[in-house]
Amino acid sequence: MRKRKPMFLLLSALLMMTMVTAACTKKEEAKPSASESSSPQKSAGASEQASEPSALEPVELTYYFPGTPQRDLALVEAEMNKILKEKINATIKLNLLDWGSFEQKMNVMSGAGDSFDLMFTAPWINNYYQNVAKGALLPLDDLLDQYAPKTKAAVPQSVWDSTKINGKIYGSINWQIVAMPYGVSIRKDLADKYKLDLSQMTKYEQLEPFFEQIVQNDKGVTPMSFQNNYDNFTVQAPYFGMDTIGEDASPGWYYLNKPEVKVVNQYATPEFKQFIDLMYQWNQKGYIRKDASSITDTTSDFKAGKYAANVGFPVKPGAEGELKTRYGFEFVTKAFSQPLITTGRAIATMTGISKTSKNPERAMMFIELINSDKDLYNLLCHGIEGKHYVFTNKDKGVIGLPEGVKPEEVGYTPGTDWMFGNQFNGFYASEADVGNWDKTIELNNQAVSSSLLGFNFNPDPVKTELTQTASVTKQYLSALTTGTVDPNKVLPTFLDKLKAAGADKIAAEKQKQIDEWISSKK
Amino acid sequence: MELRKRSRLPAAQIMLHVILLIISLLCILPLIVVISASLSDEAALTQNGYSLIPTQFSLDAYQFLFRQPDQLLRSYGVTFLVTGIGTIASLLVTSLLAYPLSRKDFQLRRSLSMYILFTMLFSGGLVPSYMVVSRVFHLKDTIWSLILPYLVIAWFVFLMRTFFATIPDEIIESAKIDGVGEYRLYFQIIVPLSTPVLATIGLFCTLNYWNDWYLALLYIDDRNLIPLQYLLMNIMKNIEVINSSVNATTSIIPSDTVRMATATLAIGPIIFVYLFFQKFFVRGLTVGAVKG
Repeated sequence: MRKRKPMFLLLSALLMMTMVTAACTKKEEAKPSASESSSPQKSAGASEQASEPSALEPVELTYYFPGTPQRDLALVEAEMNKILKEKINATIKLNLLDWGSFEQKMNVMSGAGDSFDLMFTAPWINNYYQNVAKGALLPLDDLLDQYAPKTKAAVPQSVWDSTKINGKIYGSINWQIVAMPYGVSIRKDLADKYKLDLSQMTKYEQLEPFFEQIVQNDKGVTPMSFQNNYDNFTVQAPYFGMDTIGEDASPGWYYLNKPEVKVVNQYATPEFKQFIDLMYQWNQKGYIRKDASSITDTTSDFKAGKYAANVGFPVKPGAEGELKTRYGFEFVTKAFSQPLITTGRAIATMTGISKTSKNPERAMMFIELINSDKDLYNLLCHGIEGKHYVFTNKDKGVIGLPEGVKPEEVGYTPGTDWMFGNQFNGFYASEADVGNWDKTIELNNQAVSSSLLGFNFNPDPVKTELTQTASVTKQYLSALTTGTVDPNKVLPTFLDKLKAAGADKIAAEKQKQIDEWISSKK
Repeated sequence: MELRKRSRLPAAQIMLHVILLIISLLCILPLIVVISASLSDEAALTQNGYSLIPTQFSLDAYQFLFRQPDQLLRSYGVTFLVTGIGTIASLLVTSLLAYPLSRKDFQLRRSLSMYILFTMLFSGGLVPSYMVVSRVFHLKDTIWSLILPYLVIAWFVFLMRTFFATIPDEIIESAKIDGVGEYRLYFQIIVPLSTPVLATIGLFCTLNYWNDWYLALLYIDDRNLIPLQYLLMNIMKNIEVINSSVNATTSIIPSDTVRMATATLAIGPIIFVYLFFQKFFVRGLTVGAVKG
């Protein structure tokens, strides 16, 4: 026993030493990056030289983004480097990480302070807010103004504002659809069969006669699909005249049409009651599968023709074409809610510059090029002309597969043009899509901005309550929105449990943060 | 009394057998369903659900996975190599560490045990260990980054030490009196006496290396060094993403059957390891049971 004590002392001393040294090295590392972040001002002259690439030192940029492995990535990279070398005397190293590992790998890399330049970041993967909180991202305001005027100009100021955290922009927006109306998509053959006139419809209730006909006449077809990770109430808050705050399903939404932002518990609203009553009726009538609340993936059932309609469907321009390729059936769509720009949607995909970047100016020049140079952008999105795609209609910018090549044989089809830059510079994938970019831009312009656009809810003060309410919500919500249980019996229990889990406290915290945000704007 | 006991015994045994039979069926049936599903046609699977015998036989799922056989075979190679080298090296180092700890005449016994125990209670955490592997040892994108981090696992060291401690001191003493040196003592006397524990821990290590994808996630960017489990995991994840955000240029991929086929491929070879270890394994189960 006597021997043990000095051992403990020694060990704890060792532990403390490693902690201290770790802290020291961290500080040392932080220093150069801090000086780098201030270097844009120092190298202000560089922007004038940007037009003369030879004046710039050659550098290599590294770019991390998620995707599926692409055989010809190196070829595309080489082609891109030809353009980049000429324009900004830089080369790019494309690091495509698998979807399943991107998040964790980025986390560790930025945690360990590995040096790299560009990364994909969003609230849903490689979390933007956490990256900013950790100090993994560089503030981009000055860099954007100086090196990326076109990128800055293409995106409305209100959307830039929504990226701001403590008044600074940390991510460059990949400009694309930001306003999404929700509604319904219905298999065209069935809609035609029963002469469904969608144009006059504004509410889900009006679909009832159509669903009834399907139940009566089409054996094996369920009128309405449901996926338990995509709940029909939460996804389409604007349909109910409300909008979400923070985590979508967390208690505390607000009504859009009221002048004052007043946080309410959405599950206690008459709109919710009305919706789940309807779903209960529909379930009783057989419009929804009895086991709907346990279904996680409807793709294969849609392909097998077992569903007629998808409720709470994001109706964007070109959606019909996508459904056709996904399910093999023609679809018709109709939006039931107005398009609304929310913070989450506005910043759904961004490119950030790492704090550890040795060349943030050049990284920003790359962002400017990928957002404004159509050749470079389409190279990254679709690969090399003739090898990975051919033009089927060059004037309109429609591309297709090279002749005799099967889709799975193409060496480069990341299929994520929304991830790299201004999507409206991209090619169309089919003739039917032509004009969709203009339609989307129009949709973006017409859309109403959420009055909370730019507000970011900080969940930390009510973390415990959020976790508790989330587990209550998980237990009850999909049973209610699929109509599996009788709302009159279960809804009161659900509300009681939510209350006990701290729903009111969350709503109060949301209200407090919103009030602070509004008063800070004035 | 005697008679009654005798007549009862078969009934009890039948009961026991029935119970064991049910348990083994519960273990085997899901496996058969998985294999059957992997050999089914995707559409038929959705229409008819899972069954013990494929309703519509199809090799689509395997065809999809073997579309680029070079990558899959490479990954099998990497996994075999890592598992092989890893298990042997790990057994060697672990036992060479555990053995001295079991010897009562070893002076640093206590402090070394404490040191090992310490790593069980407190770990450096993800980021520091990443930094050690990638910056201090520069193991990123090498096969060693898949082997070295799991070389010594504290728990296994203690398991082995406990077993070694059950070997009577008299054996060691008498060997010493016969003039055996430490190395010969270890390799010719201790090791043959310890096959149960070596086999048990060998199996643990094999499974550990075989099933690992996490090290690859952290340290491997080079596609030539991707081990099997990591490759399969990524294939699955990528299918999910592709199918949920399809655009006109990608074709639709069978997902449920492929999921089952990847599971089948992942467990395939490792099942035989159990057969190999089985004879040691039963004895090994009692390892450390006597002295805690």
